[in-house]
Amino acid sequence: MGRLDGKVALVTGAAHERGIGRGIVRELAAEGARVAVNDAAYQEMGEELAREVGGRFYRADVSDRALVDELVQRVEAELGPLDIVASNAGVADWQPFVEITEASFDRIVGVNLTGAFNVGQAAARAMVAGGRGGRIVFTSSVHVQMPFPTMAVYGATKQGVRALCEAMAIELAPYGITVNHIGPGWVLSALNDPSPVLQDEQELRASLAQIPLGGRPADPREMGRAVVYFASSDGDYVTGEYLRVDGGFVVGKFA
Amino acid sequence: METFVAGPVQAERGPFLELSQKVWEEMVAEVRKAFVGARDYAREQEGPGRIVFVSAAAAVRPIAGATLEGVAGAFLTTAAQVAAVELAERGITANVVVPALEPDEQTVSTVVEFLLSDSAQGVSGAVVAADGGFSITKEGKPSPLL
Repeated sequence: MGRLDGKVALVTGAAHERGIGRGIVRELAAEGARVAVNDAAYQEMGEELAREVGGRFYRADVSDRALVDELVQRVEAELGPLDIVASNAGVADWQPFVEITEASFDRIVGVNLTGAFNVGQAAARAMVAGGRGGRIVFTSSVHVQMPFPTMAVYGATKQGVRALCEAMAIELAPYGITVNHIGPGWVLSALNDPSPVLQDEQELRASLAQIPLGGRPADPREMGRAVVYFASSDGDYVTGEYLRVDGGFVVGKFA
Repeated sequence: METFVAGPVQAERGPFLELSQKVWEEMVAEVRKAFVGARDYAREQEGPGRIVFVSAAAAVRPIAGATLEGVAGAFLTTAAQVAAVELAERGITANVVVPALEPDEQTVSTVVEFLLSDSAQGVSGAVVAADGGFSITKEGKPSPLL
């Protein structure tokens, strides 16, 4: 028996085979949830994942509000009322502060921050209308606790998500909706492919060596298990909270 | 010394569930203006410099009905801290001032002026409350010390 038997979940930004979203989908499904797999791209990977977990793939760009409203409506019509929403879609660029372009700013803010608002508010409205409470979990980042050079916009959007999450937690508590966020550390996801650290084997080794627990990157499923904690009855009394899953990276930063 | 100051961030207040796409986009536009302004300043500034963002009380502690200014202030806080790290070698500091929910202009400007001054050359990436104690109280009074 799973901890999420009978629950319906939506995970955004979930298709890519090396992404955090896929780890979240697999863990929610392993606990018995029916999962809607969303992504703006990677349709084949998304459909394959949906088949694997007995869920369904929904293509939609979270930065577009009309598409998000339609996404939530379709998931509820086809899978049932939403119990769990993991707002996970994210993009990143690496640019020195003085070289950040408006195009990059708009792209990252559109997906990471406006996308989180779109998904969070559409999910909350559906859950309030359903009258059965709900669980919303955002993917933020270790960036909410430490600044990373060349990633000003990415880090700023994650801090914005942190503030959004906390405000939602207060306002949605009366409806039985909890709102929390997870803080992944190093994940060798597609998002990180352009990272300068990954272009240089020595730098990557040095970076991984800074991770106190095992000197290894995270498995996306380890992020999924943190989402399951918030989404299951274990998280009944937890809202506005942040769960960092980084192998001790942040606390080890100055060690 | 030329300096750059943006804020305090202002945004529509109201229940989260009722926030419109329009007010969200207005908030994003304001944040974008402050961010791009600081970037342009850092591009052009020669020698030491100062960037100050005046944030919002809700960026530090969530306040029902003040979601948008909280998100905007939070965004600019991390933006300032990353800029602080990157610009340190040029002697450019970047700091954040946090006013009360209803900002007291005098209190805020005193702290901003300090951060812009020569005396503050060793202060960067700091988040400084200029709020009469608002952030340390739980009643949410505008400014308990004022």
